[in-house]
Amino acid sequence: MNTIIKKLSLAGLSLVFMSSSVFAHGPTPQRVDEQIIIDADVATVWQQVMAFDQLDKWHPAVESITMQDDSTRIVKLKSGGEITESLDESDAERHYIGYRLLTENVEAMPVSFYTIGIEVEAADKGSQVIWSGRFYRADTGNFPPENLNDEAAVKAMTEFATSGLEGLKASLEK
Amino acid sequence: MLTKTLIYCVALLPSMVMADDFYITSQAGNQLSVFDSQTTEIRDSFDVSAAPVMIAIDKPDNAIYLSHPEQGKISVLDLNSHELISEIRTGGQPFAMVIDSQKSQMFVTDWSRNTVLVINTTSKQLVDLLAVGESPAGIAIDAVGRKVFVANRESNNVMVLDADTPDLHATIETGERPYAVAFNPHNGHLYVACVHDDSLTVIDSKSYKKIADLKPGRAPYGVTVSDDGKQFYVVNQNDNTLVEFDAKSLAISKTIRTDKMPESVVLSNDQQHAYVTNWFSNSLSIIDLQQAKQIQSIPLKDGPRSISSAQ
Repeated sequence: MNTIIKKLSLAGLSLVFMSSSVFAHGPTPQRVDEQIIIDADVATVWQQVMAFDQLDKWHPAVESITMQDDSTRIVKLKSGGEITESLDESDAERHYIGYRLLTENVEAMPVSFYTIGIEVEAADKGSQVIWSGRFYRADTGNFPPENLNDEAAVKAMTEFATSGLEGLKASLEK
Repeated sequence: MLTKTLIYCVALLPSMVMADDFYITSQAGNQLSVFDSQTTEIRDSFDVSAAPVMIAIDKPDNAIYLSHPEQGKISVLDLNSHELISEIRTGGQPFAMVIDSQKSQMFVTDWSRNTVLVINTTSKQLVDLLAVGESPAGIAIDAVGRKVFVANRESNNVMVLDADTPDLHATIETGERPYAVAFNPHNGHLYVACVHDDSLTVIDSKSYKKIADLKPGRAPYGVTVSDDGKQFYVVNQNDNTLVEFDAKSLAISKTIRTDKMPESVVLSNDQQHAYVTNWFSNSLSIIDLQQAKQIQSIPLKDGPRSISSAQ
């Protein structure tokens, strides 16, 4: 049951190229890697971090959280717009949660995909929280506009991580 | 005496490429590094054109091919001198590459144009474009059986193309977001790592049937097969592990911790070690397979993606 593969002429290629816009994923991963020291023990910090449905209690950029099911949350941002994230892993022993972007909204957050991990470790004074992950810019084509390029994605993801960590610290040290 | 020395020198020339060398791309660092597996050291590291991702080495032709998806090109380096020989301007986003050992050609997935590019490795020219599924990522070849396997990431399938004629033999459904593929010539199985639903689809390349759906771990990425075909290996990006599968029973025989976000895996020439590039940690894990543990972690330039043997 062989079918002849469609061959593309070089002239036809430019058409294909023009029609390819934004992909859910791309060949250029970017990184976020932020830490903070919090003056609270690991168990206390973990209680806050593990509550996947309670992000709005400590993240200053988050307006509200609506749970779609046990492991899927809709994050409504204060800046407007919603993104949907799904929980991949919650490891109480390692004090680690991992989640990913399920439904993108490039106007709210200029990324097409991410996986994020938040881990709580014991530190000299209290706990260290590490917010790290891998993500892709909003427009994964080779000619992204400025608001959808790698720099825009790195900036947004880094800011969201740092403000989140600071919010977490503030909520636990008050 | 002089003649003797000269002959000796000439005889030495082809061995400049050490059989134990492995090449590693660092996408963010724009570097190609040479890992000497005998001394377990990075022997050399040098600048290449921006954002290299995948590597294909054509040993008989002394060529290293590097894909630069964001520049829409493939650079060709001399395997001995590491000098740039040629740049193939493909357009689109050339990604994974596979050399055809039986013919002077190479197949390349083009992520953004949904095509497979056929490149003549003698003339270094793009000679054909074949339409495949959406966002083709990984690619593998059965050079003897004359088949090319392409993982269409956004179509959730694998296409089997003919290596000689523009024929599509089959389209086989896989798990969600198939990324890497590896072919086992000993049993004709194809292993497809599916990043999104954490599965690994095993396909019989003769009947074109899916024969198993395995669970290697979270976000399986790179896949490789041992030389004897008895084992295959998968790295799980979100678990930070390397798992070994028994190719017969399809059961996991080993789970080994790596550094953070492992990306790709190859085996040493003697099959005693696995080498894993860790994208997040910027490191190379050296894993002793007998002991089933990481015995060394070597720093790499920023954003390591793929690793390939020079053998």
